[in-house]
Amino acid sequence: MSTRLPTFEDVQIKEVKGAILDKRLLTGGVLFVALALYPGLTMNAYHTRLLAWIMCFAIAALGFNVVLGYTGLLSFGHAAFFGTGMYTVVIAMQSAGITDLIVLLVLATLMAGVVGAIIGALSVKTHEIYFALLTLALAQLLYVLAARDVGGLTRGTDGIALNRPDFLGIPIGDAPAHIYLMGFYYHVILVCLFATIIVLWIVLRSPFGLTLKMIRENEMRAEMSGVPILRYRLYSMILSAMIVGLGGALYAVVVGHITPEYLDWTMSGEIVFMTLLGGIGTFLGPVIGAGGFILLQEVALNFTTYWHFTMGLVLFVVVLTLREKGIWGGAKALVDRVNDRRDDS
Amino acid sequence: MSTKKTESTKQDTPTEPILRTEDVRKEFGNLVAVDGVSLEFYDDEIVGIIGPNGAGKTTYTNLISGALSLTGGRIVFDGDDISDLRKYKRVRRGLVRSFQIPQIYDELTVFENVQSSVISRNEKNNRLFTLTSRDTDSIDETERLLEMFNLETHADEHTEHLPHGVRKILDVAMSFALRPKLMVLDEPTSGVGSREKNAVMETITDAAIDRNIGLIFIEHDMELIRNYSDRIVALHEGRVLADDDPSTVMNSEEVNQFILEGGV
Amino acid sequence: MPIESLTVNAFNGLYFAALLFFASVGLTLVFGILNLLNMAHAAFYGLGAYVAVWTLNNMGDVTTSTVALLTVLVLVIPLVVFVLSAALDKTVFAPLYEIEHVYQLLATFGVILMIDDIIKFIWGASPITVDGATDPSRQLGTLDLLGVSVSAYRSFVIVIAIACAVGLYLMFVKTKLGKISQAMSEDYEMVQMLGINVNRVRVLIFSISVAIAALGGALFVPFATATPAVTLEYVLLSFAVIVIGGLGSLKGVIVAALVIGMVRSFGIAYFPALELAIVFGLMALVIIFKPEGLFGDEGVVE
Repeated sequence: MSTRLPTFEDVQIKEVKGAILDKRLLTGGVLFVALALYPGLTMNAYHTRLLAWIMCFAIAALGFNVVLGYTGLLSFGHAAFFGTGMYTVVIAMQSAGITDLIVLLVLATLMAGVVGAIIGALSVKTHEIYFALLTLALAQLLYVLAARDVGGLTRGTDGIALNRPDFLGIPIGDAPAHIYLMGFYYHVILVCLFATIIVLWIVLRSPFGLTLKMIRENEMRAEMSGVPILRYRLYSMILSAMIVGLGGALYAVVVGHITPEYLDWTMSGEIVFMTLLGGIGTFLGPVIGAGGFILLQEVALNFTTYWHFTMGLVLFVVVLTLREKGIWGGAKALVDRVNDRRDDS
Repeated sequence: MSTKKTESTKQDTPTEPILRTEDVRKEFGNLVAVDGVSLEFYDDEIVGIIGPNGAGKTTYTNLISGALSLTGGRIVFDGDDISDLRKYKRVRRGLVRSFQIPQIYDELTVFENVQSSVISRNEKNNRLFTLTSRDTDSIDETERLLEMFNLETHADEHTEHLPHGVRKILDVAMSFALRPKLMVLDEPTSGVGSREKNAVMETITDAAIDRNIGLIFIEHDMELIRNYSDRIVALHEGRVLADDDPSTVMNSEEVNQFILEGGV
Repeated sequence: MPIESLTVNAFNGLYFAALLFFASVGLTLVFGILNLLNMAHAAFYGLGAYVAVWTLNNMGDVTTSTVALLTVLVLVIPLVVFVLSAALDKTVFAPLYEIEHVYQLLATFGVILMIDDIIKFIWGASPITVDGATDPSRQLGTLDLLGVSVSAYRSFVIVIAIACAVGLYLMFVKTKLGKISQAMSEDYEMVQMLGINVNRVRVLIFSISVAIAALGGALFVPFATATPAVTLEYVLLSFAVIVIGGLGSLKGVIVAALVIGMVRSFGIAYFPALELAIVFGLMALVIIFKPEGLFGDEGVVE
């Protein structure tokens, strides 16, 4: 085989790739506008709240998947980062008197990153279930400290109620709750979600993202290519923790009352569940998973008080059948297969 | 079939060795796996290491790569003592090893596999906001490497379903992408069909000579050892039994007694 | 500290340790021998607790004899659960043996959610307790231990736990089943190649393990209330126990259950705010510094 000049086919492939990217940007843009207009057009407070809720968890699941899907580590302690995001907002407002939303979000993201660095530094040396159990133990330690109010910051299991933050010096926090959400806060979450998607899309396709995949696919090879794998696992944990923390911080204002429940291991379980449901092997899977999980829960709750059973069954079946594909990857594979068949005939 | 690379044999005026192990030892409890091995390797030669199972060949290469820590002795690479250096730092200095079973990234494409090595060599792993698909430097180099190893046709394939021989070549290409000064290969042709073995060795040695890379390879196939080594080191029970040009080693009585008749 | 409170706390620590032993020993055996990480294991502890409250409360019309009540707790309930779990092993759990640990963890997390709702569906979400008339712990009264009066029922639970530990030890050392199990923990495929019916051993080990968890739950309720939170609490505690002891080690479970039992008992007495924090801190420290646990690099019974 000798050198070959770019053929017509290559050029065509590049053009097709460009077209796919354009199509994605277009779809994304349309979706963004549609979501942005939704509350104003429908004036449906319930739906707006549900969407806000989904988007917060979509951010968290996207962040979680940096560790699970891209670096190949199952953490069972991500509630620590989600809860840190929430508690940072409420404690900064109540104890430090910070009321500006932007400052609060930045602070919460950074704090979650710090907790991520600590838990990460302690756990990146361990593997597989030991990593899962160590992150679980460390996060649970944080939960117990918050639930027993050690340090006097969290008010124990009673939790702390939260006021609505202001924005750029405008005392918008005084607006009634549903106006605040539908006219302002919902859009903040939407922007954060799309910003997270864009930033992560780039980061995961950067040399850094490739390095995480190297570690996931073959740790020994990565190390033998000169990659300090422990350091990159730690970076992955910090990045993941920051995004999950942002999701938590945004969610704090939606629920308005923060309790240690959000630090508990069942919360970690839910984040794992959402991500897996959507598909850890796909970029947007976690977003679909968060939506699927929350909608499923809402639907199940409408029909029965026994929604845990439904959710458990779904998780069980997804793990056994779809694995890393999840519903998003599964749907994509199905579409591909249908297209292939159409091409064949 | 004989394709010995006479043009690359060690020159008469020896330069500084690229790698020197001084009285290197490794003990596992009471078991002495490597028992004081002192050897020198140069960047313009191909050295074959032979020895029966349990002779300490793999342990010795693990000591060189840093996968195992030394019990005693010293390793000098390119003029510096690297005895306590972490694995990835040895790689960054140009000491690269490959494994019996190809170590590649299954869920990535052939292109990404090679590109990942190029990026790692340039220590660009920490770039967060540039797309790998736009990183023309590493793309160009990856394309050249794929061409050099005849892998272009597989570029966009995921590596899972590649034939074994191709996986092996890919593994080697990834190691070459690291621009090593010295490469340690653990049975580079294991698992490769006997007809392909020479082709694989050919590719490796050509590339090494072309780029002035020293090669150390462990091999059980005496035919390959004889054909491709400039020098042979025979290990037995953790010690150096012989270290000389191929014909001397192969004709040595001790080597015949302990290794060649041992049914390799 | 006064000697009396020392005795009381040590006794309560032993009682906690007994319960933790029941809840966790099966988890470590199923992992060590069958290579299944069953997060839902402690859910059977919770299930045993509910079944016990329900059975005891329905026995009142027939008999309130202490011997009958204790027989139900120690023999009948574990036997019923034994049969039930054999069926579960053949159905729900069968596909899980084939998949990776992390997926086992996730699938069995799903099983926890399901069992949680089955419990709520049958017995409701509010706590339930054993009626006074059929409560063996009331009937048995107290005993004198080194000048301190302690619950006779709790002493009984401790004795059963010791008997159970000795029984398991003898099973592994003396019986054919035990020896095959040990061989399986070391080399599953080799045992399979010897022509031994691995599936039958699997069902037996799984069912014995689950039955012991249910036994623990049953023995737990005369002194406590059965709530859905029991399951979640013991899932975590049992993981702490098997991690500290070393995954797959019988001796490890015994020692770790004792450690955590004592930490909880003395912790509740002297540093109530930090009692659970110590448990999880200990668990984290063990994974960081000795990931194989105290006895995990040895066999099942060494």
